[in-house]
Amino acid sequence: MRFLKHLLILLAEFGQFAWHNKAWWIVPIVLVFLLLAALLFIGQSSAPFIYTLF
Amino acid sequence: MNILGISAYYHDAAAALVQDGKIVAAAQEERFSRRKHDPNLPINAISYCLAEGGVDPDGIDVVTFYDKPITKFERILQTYFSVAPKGFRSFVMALPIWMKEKLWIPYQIEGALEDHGFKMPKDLIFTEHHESHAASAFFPSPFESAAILTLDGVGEWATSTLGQGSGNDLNIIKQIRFPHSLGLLYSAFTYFTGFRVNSGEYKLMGLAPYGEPVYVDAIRDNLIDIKADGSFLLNMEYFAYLDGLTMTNERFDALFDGPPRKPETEISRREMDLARSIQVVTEDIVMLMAHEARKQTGEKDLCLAGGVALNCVANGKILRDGPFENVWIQPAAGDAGGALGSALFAWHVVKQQPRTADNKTDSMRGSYLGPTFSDDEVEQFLSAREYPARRLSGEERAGTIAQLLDEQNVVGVCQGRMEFGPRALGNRSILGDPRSEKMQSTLNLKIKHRESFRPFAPSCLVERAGEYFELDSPSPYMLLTAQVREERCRHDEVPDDITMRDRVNMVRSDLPAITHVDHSARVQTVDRSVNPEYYDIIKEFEERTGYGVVINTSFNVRGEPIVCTPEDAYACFMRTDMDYLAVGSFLLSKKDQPPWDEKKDWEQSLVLD
Amino acid sequence: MEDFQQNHVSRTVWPWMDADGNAAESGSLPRRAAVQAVIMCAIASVLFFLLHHHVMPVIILVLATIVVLSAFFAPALFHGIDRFGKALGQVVGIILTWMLLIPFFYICFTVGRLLLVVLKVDPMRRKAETGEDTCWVQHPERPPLDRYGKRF
Repeated sequence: MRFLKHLLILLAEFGQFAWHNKAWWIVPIVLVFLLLAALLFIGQSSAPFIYTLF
Repeated sequence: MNILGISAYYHDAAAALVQDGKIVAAAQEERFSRRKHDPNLPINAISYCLAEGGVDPDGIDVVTFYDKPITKFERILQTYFSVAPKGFRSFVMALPIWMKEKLWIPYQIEGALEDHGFKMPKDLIFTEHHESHAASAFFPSPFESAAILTLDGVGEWATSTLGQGSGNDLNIIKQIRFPHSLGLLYSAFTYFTGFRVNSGEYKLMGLAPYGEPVYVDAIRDNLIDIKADGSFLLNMEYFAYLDGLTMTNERFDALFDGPPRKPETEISRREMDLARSIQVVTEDIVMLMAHEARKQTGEKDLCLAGGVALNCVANGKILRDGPFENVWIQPAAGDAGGALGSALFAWHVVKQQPRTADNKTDSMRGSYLGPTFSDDEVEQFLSAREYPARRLSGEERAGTIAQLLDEQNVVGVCQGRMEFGPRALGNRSILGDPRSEKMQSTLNLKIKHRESFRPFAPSCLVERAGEYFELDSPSPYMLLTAQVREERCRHDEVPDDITMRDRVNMVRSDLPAITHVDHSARVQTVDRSVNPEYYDIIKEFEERTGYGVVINTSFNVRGEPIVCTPEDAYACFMRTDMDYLAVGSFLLSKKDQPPWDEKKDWEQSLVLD
Repeated sequence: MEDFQQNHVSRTVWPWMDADGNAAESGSLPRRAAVQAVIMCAIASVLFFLLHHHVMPVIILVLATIVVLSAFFAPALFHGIDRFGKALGQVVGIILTWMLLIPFFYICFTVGRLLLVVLKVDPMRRKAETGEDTCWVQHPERPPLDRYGKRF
């Protein structure tokens, strides 16, 4: 829950940054970047539990 | 109001606590984690500061962070847009840290505080990197108003700024933007001469007096375009820090007669000349900037911060030859000081609280802002571990230590509150006799385990400084160099074929152990009102020997953070050839100690700087 | 000195008196093992009921049993398995980092750079020969104070 709150604040601040600096290019980059971060996190933290599948 | 300042995730993480505008505590994380330049969220330093301030679990009113992560992230993305398809290796090193940590700073701080039983306040403030530096330089300074220069590698976009502080306000007027950076230029030479970036800059400065400035023209003609107002542009064709994992590239190699020196190999004439040349260029730029700051602001006093402000040779030059009457330098001028700066900025600027300054004393409390340990506790610890020690009374302590120094012993001292910033100022120091011809070499090789060319610094009674050094203002934080007085110096001819070690051992003054090859010294002046215990030791030494000066080097070995606790001090004492250890009121002699059976490979765990 | 107590500050930074009695971790082993076992059982269930595998779920259940038993009776084995899991996580993390970041970097930044080259824009000012008298840039005016609550 706490993480979700911080994720939303982060996204909002990137949005405000883009608006303020007219740097819209950063929005898709950050979204993709966060998606990659999520994939990495899931991959890394699930590995110890599913090592039998490897 | 309790304001907790934090700097982290680059190098030298630190925390600071400001209570109703007063600096209560500040410390670098490395001192607790025992990992030099530890960049991680400084949870130990935070815990210490909150404990020192007696802060309740819900008593933190504001947390400040010393830079603006989103703006910094944008700068990094822009850099890759500028260099792609090059830069992948640096990208793949840098970006995962952003994924895991740097974009989640509020989340991480909140989690860490809650893990330690503290409630995260609603008020979380992010100050700009150079605002933090500027605040750390101006707000604790003695000045009611002053010009401010901040110089470092890079913050968000700024690499150097020029500003002005007045009362409780501070404004940055102009900046030099990345990639043009004096700090990164100096670091490029640090890398090229085989030292570690972000920690070896000090060595480069210490090496400079051995060389000649033969590369100054090459630097000025090819690497940097310096304007009359101290601003500059670097020629990025010679640097690799935008798109690679190194600081310099092949063109740089070609310009300076070959590839970078490999770390830990022999230092040649080229490295000495490069060190001298970049030092000259750096001093020229800093001096021009100082003149510009004076012109822009009209102020008579100057405050300095940022990593480049740790270049005490350049600082000494500004003080001697520059346009300002007084110069004050934040003792934690590097990123650690950003924690304190951001907290002070929040108090004075964001919360608009007043500030008082008397133009005489600063509010850094001698930079003794870390933990202290009571004699009762030290006694309990020594007895629990069965380490033989003698308790000295208040009257005999200073005299006994002074006598040991006079008898050519090396004494480690761990007393009072630990220093904030990279310099040991007498509370976590190793002391020696500056009159000794062999002491520099002995300390370097047998105790500090570091390169023999590096000079040692003197601590001097403040009222006697003028008798030994060409210095007419106090230097309490060891951030200025001054020449040893001419009548004390010897100018023996240096043979051409002399080795570096022999040159170090040449006698250059009646204080040979602290006189560098150019007859300069990095002076700390000690005032009894700030540190009476340390002052008394030097005073007693003066009464015995006629010299109110001792050698002061930080209490650590190469690659290790300065000691924090009596336990750290004891371990360092036993690992080296130190003769005595004074912890609080207790004196330990090496001869009396039980065998130290630690594995011989403890040094392997240290990352040499 | 038998009843000596460290003060709060000292105990925070130098807990030497607690150092020898540091057995805090041992009590948490069964709990960690239980969490791991539950997750492994869940994976085994998915494999068995949804994907209709038969051998793999049995292997996973056997390993889950070993994890739980080792937490109670052979902490060294549990720590070994734990270390293996963490090392594996790290290796997977490194492989995934490269797999995900290579296309991201080359698609996003190389294409972006090409676009910038076409538009003759460079986010970095590189050249030393500018012909200007100064390289100082005006610092932006201080933003409204509420901006200090934000990361930009």
